[in-house]
Amino acid sequence: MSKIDIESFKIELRRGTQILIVLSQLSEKEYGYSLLEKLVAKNVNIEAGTLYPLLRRLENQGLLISEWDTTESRPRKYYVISELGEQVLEDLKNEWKEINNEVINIVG
Amino acid sequence: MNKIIEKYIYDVTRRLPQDTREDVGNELRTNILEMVQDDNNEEEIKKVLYSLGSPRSLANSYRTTKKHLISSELMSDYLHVLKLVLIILGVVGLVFGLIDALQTHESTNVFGIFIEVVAMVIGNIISILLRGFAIVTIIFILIDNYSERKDVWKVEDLPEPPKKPTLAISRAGSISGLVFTVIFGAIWLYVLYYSNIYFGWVNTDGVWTVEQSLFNVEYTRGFVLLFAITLILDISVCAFKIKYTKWNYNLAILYTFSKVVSVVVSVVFLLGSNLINPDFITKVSIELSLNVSDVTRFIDIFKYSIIGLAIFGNIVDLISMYFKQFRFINSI
Repeated sequence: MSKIDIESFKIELRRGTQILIVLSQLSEKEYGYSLLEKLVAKNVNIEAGTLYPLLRRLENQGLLISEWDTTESRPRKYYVISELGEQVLEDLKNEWKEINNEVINIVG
Repeated sequence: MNKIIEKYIYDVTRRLPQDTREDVGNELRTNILEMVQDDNNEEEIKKVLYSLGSPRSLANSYRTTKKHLISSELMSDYLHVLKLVLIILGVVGLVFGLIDALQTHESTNVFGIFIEVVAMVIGNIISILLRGFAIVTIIFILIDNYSERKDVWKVEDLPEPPKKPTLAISRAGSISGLVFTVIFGAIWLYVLYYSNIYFGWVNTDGVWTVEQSLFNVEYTRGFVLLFAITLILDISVCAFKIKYTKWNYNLAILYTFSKVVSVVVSVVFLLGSNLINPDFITKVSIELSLNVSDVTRFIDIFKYSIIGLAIFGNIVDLISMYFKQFRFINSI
């Protein structure tokens, strides 16, 4: 099997978990790059090109709330989790635990 | 403001809906500028931009609305309908193209007419296929956009699976076909070359001799080469049938091609204005005490009946071949 195939399987597997991870880190407001740094510091593997569009999509779906801060020299767009986002995060956490158990039981 | 960064941002945002461009651009700019510590260091900027990926794929991740005309759930239905429609329209285009071309061609010599007719028929088929393609595609785009997406189905609605394929070609049939094709083909070429000896008003006093030949012998001799080509095509179809013993795509294409060529050559042959020897018509009208115009009309009716039968018969033959033999391969 070629290397590209393996990579695309890995990306596929990670995709769903990224939403869970991002939601879990936005109880305090963050902007794109600060969130990226926070995730990298916690050893979470996510690319900038994946994270930035994801924030925007989650905002469109109502899971995040955004706000432009123009008081500093560089205007930044901050994101924070919404009420709906909190509910979804709870559900996703439980789902993740179940998946984790199921997979570990089967695959070992 | 850095030029490379601006170029990158432009290349991403130009692919996005108008109303989101500015916002996405501003956000992307801040994030990129935060990622590069020193915005005069070109190498560092390049590294950051490469880590973000190509502008196309980044824009694609930003996009929330769908960017396809026909969704993947409808794709197989779409291809299925498209295939059926194009096959049917292809045959229809062939027929009408042939009729149209034979009525309107401008050339007077045989090869000129042949080339002109083939070119017009191909043009006609291409234009009708393009129209069919466009119409089917537009209908599916409309269905995809305006119909309610429901995936309700019932066991009762499931289609019958097709019966076991019968793609085999009878060997005996192919061999006898080959024998008859060779024999009759050779005879036809021979009598075409000597049409002045074999067709005409026969004088039956004692020995049979053709007194007034039916065809212009120069005209029929001009067609020997073209009919020889169609004969070679027919023979190769028979040979490949024997070789493959089953229908396949290559064979079907060759078969279709040979049928089209033979119909076109025959029709061009029959429609030629020099086909009938005018002295023959005079001779017949004198011998049978008929008007010249009546004899001419009778011959014309006869010619057009043969043309009609040839076109109709070959089309039925081709359609039945495609539908019977290829339903199983294509599963259309």
